[in-house]
Amino acid sequence: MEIEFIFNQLNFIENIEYFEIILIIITFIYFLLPLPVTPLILFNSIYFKDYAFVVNLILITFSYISTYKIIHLLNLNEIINKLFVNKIIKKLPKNNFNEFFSVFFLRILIPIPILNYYLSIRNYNLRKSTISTILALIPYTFLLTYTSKDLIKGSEFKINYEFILFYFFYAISILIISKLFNKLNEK
Amino acid sequence: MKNKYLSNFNLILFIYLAFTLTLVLIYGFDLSQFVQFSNLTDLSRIPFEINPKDQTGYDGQFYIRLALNPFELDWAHENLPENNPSYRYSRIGYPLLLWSVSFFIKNQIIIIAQLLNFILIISIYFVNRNILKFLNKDTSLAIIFAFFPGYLFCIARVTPEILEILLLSLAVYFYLRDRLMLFLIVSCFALLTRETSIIFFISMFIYQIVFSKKNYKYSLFPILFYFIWIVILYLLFNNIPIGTGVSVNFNSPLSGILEIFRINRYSGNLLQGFTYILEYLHIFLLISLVFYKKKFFEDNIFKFTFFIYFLFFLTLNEVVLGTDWGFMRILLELYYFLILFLITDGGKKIFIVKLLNTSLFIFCFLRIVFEQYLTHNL
Repeated sequence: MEIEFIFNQLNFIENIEYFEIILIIITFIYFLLPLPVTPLILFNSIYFKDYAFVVNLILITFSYISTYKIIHLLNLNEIINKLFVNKIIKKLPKNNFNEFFSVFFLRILIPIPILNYYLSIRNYNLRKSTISTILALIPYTFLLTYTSKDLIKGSEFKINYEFILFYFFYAISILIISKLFNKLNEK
Repeated sequence: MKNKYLSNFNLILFIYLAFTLTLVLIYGFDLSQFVQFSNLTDLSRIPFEINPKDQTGYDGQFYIRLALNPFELDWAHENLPENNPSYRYSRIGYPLLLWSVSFFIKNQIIIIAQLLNFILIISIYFVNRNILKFLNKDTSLAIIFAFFPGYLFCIARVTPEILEILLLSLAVYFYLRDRLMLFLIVSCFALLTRETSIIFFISMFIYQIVFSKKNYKYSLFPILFYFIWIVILYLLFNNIPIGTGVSVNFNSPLSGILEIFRINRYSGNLLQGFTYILEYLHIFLLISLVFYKKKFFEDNIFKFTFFIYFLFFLTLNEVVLGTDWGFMRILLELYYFLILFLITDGGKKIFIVKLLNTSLFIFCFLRIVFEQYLTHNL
């Protein structure tokens, strides 16, 4: 992939004052829209270098919180739920486990902005879903940020199986143990 | 109720026994790998076989060497890359305890240290259960105190932080019950175990001034005791531990934290970067729960102590936070007061506390087993 070529064409950005702040604002707005986030995460990773992971994760989290707040402020959740969603999707029984883990696993499967809209409309608990979002997106953001420097050098992207195995153990363990926790609490 | 006690007791024992036995298998029954001795160690003075891997070793070696002979002042540090014996000797509490329980069987000191760890963790559970009972909180939550991720690193490297948490728990309990003499005994022993426990007494002192609590004797006596201990160390070694402690562990505020999140420092080690960042983010998420309150300043000693430990945490340097393999054990005091505050504060966040603690515990469990397996078998 010729990502390096694209960046060579974008050399002019170095002459723009406060480009970091402009980029953060652009990213934040972009993350609110139903667009694929991976290219911008990669761009940020290369631009922000050392602290790209933190910047990306904070922006993704704040974009979710903002989406949630905007939808609730405009009362869109009530309207859309009444008109469409309640008729199509059967509501899961509300408990801590379902709320937390549906977010955790949906985050891995569904594009970030789309799920942001869904969680906001379905009135998920903001605090729990935010923490679940962060936990689920750490590996994805970390891997993209970490490998971005390989992509710009044109080197081959290697899949790290140890990393995937470790994350898999982690996700499964959270699921099993917390299910047990929930069972114990119910008793 | 008795069955619940027993089931929690069994659960704690089962998990830590499984962890320890897994490591024993990975180490090929070479128990000295728990301690990680330096290859500069004088082999003739260790009463069991050791197989050092590198020149530095790990912190546990100092405690074990002191536990083998706590009254021989010069011996513990000769030939090792450590030039201030008063720094290590200031933490004599754990070696003294280990020495006293393994007096006749020194060659089995590592097994005894591991058995002691199990007893200490179970004691932490029961003490904190009593704290929660005293505060009219849900006592079933005490199980969280038995599963702090930092304990796993203490077990894997035979370090004294588990004992310190037990002593701090006892200090909190006796403070709440207004038992001055018992409080002073455990406080002094906590200071002898790890000098960082002085932060608890300093924060208690500041708290008493800020909120006009007049019982200064609880905070002043332990602080006074520590100064006397420093004077004794100076007389013994012609040096004090504070200089080494500050130069080795501290830097300008936030520089250590910023370094952890600098992604390029993990260049070539994806797994290390992932594990460090994941663990720190778990801790920061837990810390964020403290700030998620409308009333920020309140008359709560646990919250106050947590904040002072948090300030201390912010000034730790990159070596402590981002290089030390077992950094989670260093953060145990911060973690203890954080969890104690969150649990006693109650509310809906308890589920998140339980979940984050459990996931971090499991993650650390897997990380240690996996890393040790890769180090020792590949």
